[in-house]
Amino acid sequence: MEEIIEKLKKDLIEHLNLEDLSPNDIDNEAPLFGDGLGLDSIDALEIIVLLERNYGIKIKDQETGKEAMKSINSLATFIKNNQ
Amino acid sequence: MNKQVFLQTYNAACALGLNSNNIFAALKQNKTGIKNYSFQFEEEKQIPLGKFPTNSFKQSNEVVDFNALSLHYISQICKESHVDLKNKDNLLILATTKGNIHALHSKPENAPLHKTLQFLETKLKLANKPYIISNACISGMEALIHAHDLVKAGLYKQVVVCAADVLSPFVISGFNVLQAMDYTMCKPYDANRKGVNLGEACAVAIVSEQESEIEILGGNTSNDANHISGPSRDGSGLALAINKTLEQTQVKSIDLINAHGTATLFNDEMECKAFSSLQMQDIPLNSLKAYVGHTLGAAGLLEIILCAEMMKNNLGIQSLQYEENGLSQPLNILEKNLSFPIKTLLKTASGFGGCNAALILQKNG
Amino acid sequence: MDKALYIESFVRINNHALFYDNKKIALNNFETLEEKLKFLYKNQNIQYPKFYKMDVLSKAGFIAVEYLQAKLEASSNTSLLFANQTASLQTDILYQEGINNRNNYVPSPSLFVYTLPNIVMGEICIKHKLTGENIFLVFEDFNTKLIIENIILQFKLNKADKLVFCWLEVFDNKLDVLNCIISTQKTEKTPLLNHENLNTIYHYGRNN
Repeated sequence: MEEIIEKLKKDLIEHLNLEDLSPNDIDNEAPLFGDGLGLDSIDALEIIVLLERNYGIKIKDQETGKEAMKSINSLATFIKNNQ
Repeated sequence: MNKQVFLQTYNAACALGLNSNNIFAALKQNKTGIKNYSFQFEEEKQIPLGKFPTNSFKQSNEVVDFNALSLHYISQICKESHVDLKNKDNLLILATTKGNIHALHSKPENAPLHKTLQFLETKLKLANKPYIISNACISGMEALIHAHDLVKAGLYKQVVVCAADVLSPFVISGFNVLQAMDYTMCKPYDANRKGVNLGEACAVAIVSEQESEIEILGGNTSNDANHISGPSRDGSGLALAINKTLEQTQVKSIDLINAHGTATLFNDEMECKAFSSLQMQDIPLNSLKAYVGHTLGAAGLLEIILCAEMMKNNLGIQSLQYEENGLSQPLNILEKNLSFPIKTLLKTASGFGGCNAALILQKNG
Repeated sequence: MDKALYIESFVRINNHALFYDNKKIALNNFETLEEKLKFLYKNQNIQYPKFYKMDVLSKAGFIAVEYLQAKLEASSNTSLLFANQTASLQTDILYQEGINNRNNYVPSPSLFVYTLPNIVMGEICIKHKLTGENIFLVFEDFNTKLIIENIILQFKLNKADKLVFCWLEVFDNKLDVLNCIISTQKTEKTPLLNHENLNTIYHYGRNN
């Protein structure tokens, strides 16, 4: 799980252009959207693209996406369960 | 500046036909031009699109040639109205979001917008350098507002406006990856709306002091200053554009509103907030997107032209595909065609980049 | 009577340097546009992480505004008039690359959003809370007649009491940016907006 989280953080930093951040700066429990990491709706779409391209996971509907993308932990769990 | 500025003449082509008379005839019968077409994403899908009637225009690789399309309609309207673009008092302006972008695929040197300008200059004799307004989905409206302003300020006597956008894999794939499209018929303002149906169109108009039936009172643009691809949640940006236009034109009452109504969750909801904040929720309102699709840079001008037709015919066209209210603050959406005097009309549009536009037309006399 | 208009402040950026307020920041040490713009961002200590998500056109316009000495206040009466020759072509090409190959079909949502040239104005409006008129024009080249005519139009019809003009040509590793604040306020330092002065500041730093 640790490995998944570490790789996920690096992927997000690169894919979402979070240039001034390092994996250590990202709190695993903090919300990804709104407060916390402050991602927006376009970032959400890019994460969907990232999941498909880097992890081979297709998100079928918006509800699934929302649940999975609550935090780093929830996203890593989602990846673990769907790979 | 007491000049009055008029919509001297116009024409348009879209999924419903190749001239504005035919298009309006179809609207009167509530016919849609949107049909399912196969599109190759990663896999093939059927998607509703508002394409020009088959084989109407020159194409390259199944995409309509933007330059040829624009040239055709500009030449035609100038010829029919005896407007001479060699006259230094006359100007040609275009409006588009992506122009000839499909050329990137096979002939990239033809893709840039300034190449379209060069193309038109070689084909037409122009006294003044033409230019393009490229401002997302308000481009068409912004071009007409701009033309009005140029004539009102006495800078030109006649301004020819051509607003166009064609369907291409570039644009369709983009809206798909943004999850902004409905894979069934789009439903502006409806509770079950899921997104846009894309369309293509070419609209031309001549704006001048020459008196005609439809006067352009004025228009304004604004910016939400909120988010680059989502509209503001409170509609204040659109309300500002409308307010500025009301102030500028001193109009006291509006008979019909033709709004942007793209059928995305956010756009339509934003509009209801904007109109309600201005106490406009009871004014008859419609969106034309379910007839012709969202024609992007052409939309503003195509729809203004159809508004002029509605005014001339005193006929508010049904807002197609609206069945159940899906807005937090209901608007007075036309559920069928309605005959009533339409003297003053408000047209609005909004676009990516947080831009909004508002314009008021009034029947002369 | 037409109001006289003045160039209150300007920033000029080309591949060699950024010029503002009689200062010059050399850019020769950096090869790509991205590197130059990133350097300028850090140099001004801007603290706006969204900068990194912007495409190169938006980054360039954003940076130009941040270096203006006359600061922009939140307003619904400040117009934005941006223009260039290639619209968003740089990003259009990047986006197209993602959809060219059916076996490697990777359209990018964030890239697609930036394939509209007016997005740069949206970014600037968001940062500075500008809610007034905004228009993006495509010309064949830097044309002072068309630029001045369009600027005058905004003031003549009382659509603005201030205007941010930006010539923002950013394509194929070429940076050609001129950003000015135009206003009706005259001060000692502010030249009149006319063809001669506009050309002078456009060619500023040509040989520097």
